[in-house]
Amino acid sequence: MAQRLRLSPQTLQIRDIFLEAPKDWKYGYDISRNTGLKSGTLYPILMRLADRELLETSWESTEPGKPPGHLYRLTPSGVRLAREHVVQAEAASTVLALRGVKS
Amino acid sequence: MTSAVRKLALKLLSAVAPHSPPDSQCWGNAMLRELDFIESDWASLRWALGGTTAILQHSIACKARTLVAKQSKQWEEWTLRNVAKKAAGLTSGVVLAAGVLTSSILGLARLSPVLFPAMGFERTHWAQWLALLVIPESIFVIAAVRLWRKKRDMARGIVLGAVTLVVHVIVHVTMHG
Repeated sequence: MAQRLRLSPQTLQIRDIFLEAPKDWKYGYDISRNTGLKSGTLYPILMRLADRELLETSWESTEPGKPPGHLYRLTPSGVRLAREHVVQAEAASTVLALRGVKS
Repeated sequence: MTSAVRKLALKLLSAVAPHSPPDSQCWGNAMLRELDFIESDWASLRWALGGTTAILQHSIACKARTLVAKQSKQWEEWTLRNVAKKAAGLTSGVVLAAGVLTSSILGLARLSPVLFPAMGFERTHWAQWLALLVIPESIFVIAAVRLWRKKRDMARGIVLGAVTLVVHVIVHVTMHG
């Protein structure tokens, strides 16, 4: 499975939302509200993450008569990769900051 | 009461979701369920429009992936079949050439002295050349030309046999005089 993922600013926003509480399931519309992303931007990213098995999906079990909602959270490998990205981004920004101080 | 705008949003996603490929259907249904949580009607329509675009993109990507996988599998199978067919043709050509050569040697160099002892094949160089080189090579050339259009791989096998024989003769003559 390819673990490479294009990290657009929107993907980073979604990553951060999931990393806030990695074990919690989230609704698509909640992610949209929290990030300000429209469905046309949000869902392709979720689909890509799911295709790469970095995101797991589940249908919410509800009482009869009420339609179930679709829930999302990062898989363990997704959480690991997302955390690695955060660490790498922090290291890169630290290096850039140090270079800025020296020059 | 459901407004016309919300109905339109619902209809849009309801129409797209069932017709999308299985991989995309679950996403369409997911977006459809989310509509229940969106308070504003216009926001629900925007949600449906964005969702429709996303489903269509995903459907196209899924179909493209499936098509590419199918095409590459077909190509792989075709290549495998083709290689096997070519190898079989080439081998049969070589076997045929070897058979012709053996028959020629046995027929002319071995049987003729028994059948026609007066001709003295064993002592005659030209007769040996005839049996070992001229007759088989002539048969190879005729067979290769005849088979070239219909059974090219077999013809190639025969040409390979012919070339091998000529090379063998040249090497033999060079080494032994």
